[in-house]
Amino acid sequence: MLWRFLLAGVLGGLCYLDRTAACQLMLHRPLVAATLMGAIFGNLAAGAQVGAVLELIFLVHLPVGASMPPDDTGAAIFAGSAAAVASSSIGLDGGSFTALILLSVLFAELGKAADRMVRKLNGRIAHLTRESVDRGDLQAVEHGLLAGLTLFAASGAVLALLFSGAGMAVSKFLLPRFGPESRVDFSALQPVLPLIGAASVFACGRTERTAGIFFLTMAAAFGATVFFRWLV
Amino acid sequence: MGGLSPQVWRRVWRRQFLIQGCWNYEGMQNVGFAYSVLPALREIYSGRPEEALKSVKRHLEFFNTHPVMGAVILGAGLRLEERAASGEADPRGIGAFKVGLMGSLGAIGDSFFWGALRPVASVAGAILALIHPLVGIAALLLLYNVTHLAVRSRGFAAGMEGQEAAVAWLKKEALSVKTEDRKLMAAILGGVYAGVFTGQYAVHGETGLHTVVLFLVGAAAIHFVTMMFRKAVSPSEILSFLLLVGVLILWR
Amino acid sequence: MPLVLARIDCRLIHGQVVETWVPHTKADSLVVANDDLAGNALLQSVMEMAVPIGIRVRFCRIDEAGTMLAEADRRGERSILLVSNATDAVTLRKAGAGFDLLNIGNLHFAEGKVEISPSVFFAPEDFEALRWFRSHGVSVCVKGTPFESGMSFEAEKE
Repeated sequence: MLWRFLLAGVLGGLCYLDRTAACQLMLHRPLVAATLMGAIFGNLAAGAQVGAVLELIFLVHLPVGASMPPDDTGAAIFAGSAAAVASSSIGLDGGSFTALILLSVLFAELGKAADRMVRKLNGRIAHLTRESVDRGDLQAVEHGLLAGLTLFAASGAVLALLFSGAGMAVSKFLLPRFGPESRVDFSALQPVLPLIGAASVFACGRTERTAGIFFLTMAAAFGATVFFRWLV
Repeated sequence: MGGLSPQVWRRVWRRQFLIQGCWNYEGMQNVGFAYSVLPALREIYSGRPEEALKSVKRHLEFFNTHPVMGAVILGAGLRLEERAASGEADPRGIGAFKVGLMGSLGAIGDSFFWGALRPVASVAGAILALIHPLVGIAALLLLYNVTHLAVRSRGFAAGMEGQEAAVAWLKKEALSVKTEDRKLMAAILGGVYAGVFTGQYAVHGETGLHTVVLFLVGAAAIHFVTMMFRKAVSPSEILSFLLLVGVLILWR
Repeated sequence: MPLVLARIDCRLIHGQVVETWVPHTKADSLVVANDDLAGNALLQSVMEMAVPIGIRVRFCRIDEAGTMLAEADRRGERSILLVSNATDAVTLRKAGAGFDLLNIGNLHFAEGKVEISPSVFFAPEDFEALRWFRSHGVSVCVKGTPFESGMSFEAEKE
């Protein structure tokens, strides 16, 4: 079990680095992070299931300037590891799925607060860098950047550890308290989640222009799905 | 003077991926920018430590743009720096050039990468993950990064040609037109995603009316949530509200 | 409602404006009043590229802004007015620009400035401008995007 958390910390930390500090190759996207956590904690498919839904929900919130979106990477790390632990051989039940997605908001907001703190601390680093450069030390720029990068990586690794730990705790101790009936009741909210994701994608475009296209393709895909289900 | 050596350009190219490595509220990408240009400044001002210092300080001024679009500013900024070092240009022009471009390029990049390309990659990934998670992930990463890396390298190369070439490249690249295309693509894929998910709740053997109502409910829900996003309700608030509803359901 | 948003933003047009405020306010026109920019065709051409298709953008000097806003108004456009500093905003309001709510998005840090929000730093003249606005019936709201809760300074009642 220890090695799993170790792996979660290291790989989760890498996902976090990709989020702001380095490259932005989209390794920090919920689909990637949640699937990764799912794989580490024993069920890749369950991780991907929550990851795919979380992938879209927060898209509407862009990282523009100093305005920071909720930490969807953190939400995915929590939900992905929790989903893998909560799933059984037949997969993840609808109630647990819904509960994990909804609970992940907490971690998205916690992660955002931590991110803000890191960026504040970076302000100190930047300040010190400027002072050293004033004294004639050019290498301070390299040290400053390295310090910022280390801070981002360390906070990412700690968050990944905490959030995957929380995911495991929720799935081991909180979810089993609810019986099958409660789970079915709770899963009543499940259909709403992908719709929020779709709305988030839709809201990213300029809705007046694309509304017709969006609802047309939705109708076509809906028709095709119903027809396909009717066939088989 | 033949300009900077290819090795130095390559180092600057590699370093720009860390432009947000020390992102802070006061200077935003300032340390990252200075870090990226440092190898070049060392070469340009080799043997002139006083001027090197002045130049590094200049690049530690506030800087923020979209991380990918930073590449073109880096290239063009260094060309200006070379000309300033040989006395052909006014060093103050470098800061003015960076500040002048960063807002616009930030807007172009935010619209194209965050507002259009990322949604396309995300929703394509989410749909294909239904087939297999790894297919979804591969699609997401490829769709985003092929364009991302292409724009980065073309922008950097154009910047290296100088500021006029950089602006000409921006015009030619026409990212705002591509933004519209990608937004349309995102809408189409988003529609597919919504349709497939709503369709799964169609019950076998029910009447046509039932199916139509199901579709309308789904479409209305999406429209409603979109309106809320437009009214600046955040996704977190919506999910928290649903969590509360869920708790109430269990309590009942 | 011709003028849907008046905003101080030292970066003028950038991501927060085109990706969040334009859709939020359903604006179809941007009026950028800035003396430096009005004389720089190169920067204008780059800034124009940042504006989504279908949104009209006008660049003007501070003293021309009134005419520009009136023209946008005549055409029935929903405009966002952008200036880069508080002093320009005061000048425009004194000249009769019609806004009672002023948004402050970004004012960069510089030595000696006071932090108001993570992205807004006030110099002494900014505090003065804030006082002037509040005593002249203009509420001031500090926030980068409509998603933030922001910070409000209500206009003083007479």
